[in-house]
Amino acid sequence: MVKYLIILLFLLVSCNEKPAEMVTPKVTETFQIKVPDYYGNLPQPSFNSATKDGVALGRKLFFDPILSSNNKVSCATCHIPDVAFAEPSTIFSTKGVSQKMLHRHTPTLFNLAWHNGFFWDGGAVDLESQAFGPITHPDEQNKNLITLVQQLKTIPDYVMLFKKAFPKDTISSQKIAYALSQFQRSLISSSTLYDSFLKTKDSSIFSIQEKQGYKIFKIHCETCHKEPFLTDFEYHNNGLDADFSDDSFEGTFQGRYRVTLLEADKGKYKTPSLRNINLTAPYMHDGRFGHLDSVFNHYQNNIKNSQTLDIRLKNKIKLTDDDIKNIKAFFNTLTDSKIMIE
Amino acid sequence: MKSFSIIIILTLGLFSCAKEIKTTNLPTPMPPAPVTVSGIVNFNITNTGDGVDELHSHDGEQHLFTTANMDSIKIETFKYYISNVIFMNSITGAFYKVPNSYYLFGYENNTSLKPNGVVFADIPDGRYTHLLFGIGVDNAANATTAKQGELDPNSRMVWNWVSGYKFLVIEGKYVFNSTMTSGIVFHIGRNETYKTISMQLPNGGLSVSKGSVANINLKADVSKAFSGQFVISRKGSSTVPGTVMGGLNATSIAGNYALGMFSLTNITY
Repeated sequence: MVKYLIILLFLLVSCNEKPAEMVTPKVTETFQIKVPDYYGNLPQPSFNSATKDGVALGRKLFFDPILSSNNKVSCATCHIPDVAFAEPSTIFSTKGVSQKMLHRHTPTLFNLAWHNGFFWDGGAVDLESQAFGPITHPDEQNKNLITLVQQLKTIPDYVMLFKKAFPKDTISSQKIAYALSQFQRSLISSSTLYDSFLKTKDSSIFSIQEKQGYKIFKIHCETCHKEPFLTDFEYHNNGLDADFSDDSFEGTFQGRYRVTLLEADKGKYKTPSLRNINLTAPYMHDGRFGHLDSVFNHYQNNIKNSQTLDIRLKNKIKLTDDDIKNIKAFFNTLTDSKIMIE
Repeated sequence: MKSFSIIIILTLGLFSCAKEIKTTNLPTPMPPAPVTVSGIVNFNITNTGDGVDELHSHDGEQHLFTTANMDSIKIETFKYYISNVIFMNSITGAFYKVPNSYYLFGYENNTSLKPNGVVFADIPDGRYTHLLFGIGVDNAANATTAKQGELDPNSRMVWNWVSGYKFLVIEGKYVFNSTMTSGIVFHIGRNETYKTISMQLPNGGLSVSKGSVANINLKADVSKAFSGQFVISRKGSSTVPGTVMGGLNATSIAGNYALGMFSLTNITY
């Protein structure tokens, strides 16, 4: 029905418009990223709003190991599409060029347009700036940006794609980051059973266990894992550690403190979305928990007290075994197999 | 020392009130100002290790510089952003801000990054008593790093774990004797370390008239990062480590270089 309406509308428009304009579409056609109403409008920077060609270019770059110094590591090497662009199985990734262990767990990539900061501590203020982190980091892709631009300029396919995506510019570090950002903003997770509920408000689509789990989630988890994104996009100390004096690796173990230099931010990390949680083990910023049971155990028994511990966790979270079973059932409704548009 | 800081604060104050100053030469980007656009200024900075010798003249291992704390240092990289260049007449309040002025100067791989300096064309005619510029980039420019030109992140002046530019980078080593050395890695950045420098120009100031060409020659002395307000050394009571990336120590180093690193050599016509 909707399809027919669209076609009708198209026909209607084509009668009123000059035919020449209809035949030659603009090179940088805007890209309509479908977003459910309860997400609100897709936030995009005015200087880099998505175009069809920009997203296509970003997607090609994302999967291309040319972004690494040994031409073996692409963004997708660690951000694996099948698991919500996270990285399963290993706690510390050694997939970077140097094969050294990284200190933080590969974060998921979906619904990124709504995030205010990137990396676990929000160190990057926008996706455009974030892109240069992993690309240039010696233990990740270790790519020299000058070399990268030179190489891309020699590949006819890329020359053409860049020209289409950014007709006024030549290939540059900036436009590489712009394209990657456009692609990443197009990764929307909103095709889960939970989303069907959000769209219809019909709780009968949940099983009894799922429904019960949803209720318990609303009481104990939702304050930080806020609906509908299941994250508040904020930074919290959830009691994993109590000592943040280790300032090695540029403050990697100090949480958001290394970004703001505020004492109050020691040990704070961004709330991850619970969407796709069944796909994204291991858990926590450093992937220290391999299984959900360890996560529940942490919140029930092992919260470590410190100056910056989130006050809502001071008394730990009290859950029965049945609660946990039900929450896990609810988590099953959060898995999305359609994040990337084919 | 104190009076210098007061001058900096005063000029900063002036700078922030600049919009209120009545001036005939205040440039407006749109439409093109109907001023008698005219002079050219070549802006050049020589990078030295002791205020005298240029860094590239010391590129051999045996050539060291000595800091005010009597440390022997070997400098491999010395890079910094110069931004928001302003020519000002302190008497009339007239000023000219070089548009989009962000320049990466310095020394790396035994060569100067800008051996010929930069050219400021289209400077409105007049007499300018002061030269002002920032070391690093201002808050607005520092907010994101996906930029082109001088601010292209390909110059390795952006951090890979936090958004922002390194304002000034010094890399090298302290040399204790023929076998013992200790690394120096100073990466200074963050908005709070952005420093604005004001220099009085000699002989009544810089004179710009139609068709005139002036050369402003500055010196950047890397050793001045190690002394001034704070002692930066690997001996004695100094607690500043060899590796500094942000934090209180970065503020100390920035405090040092804001005081004495940049000086005017001469103006020639």
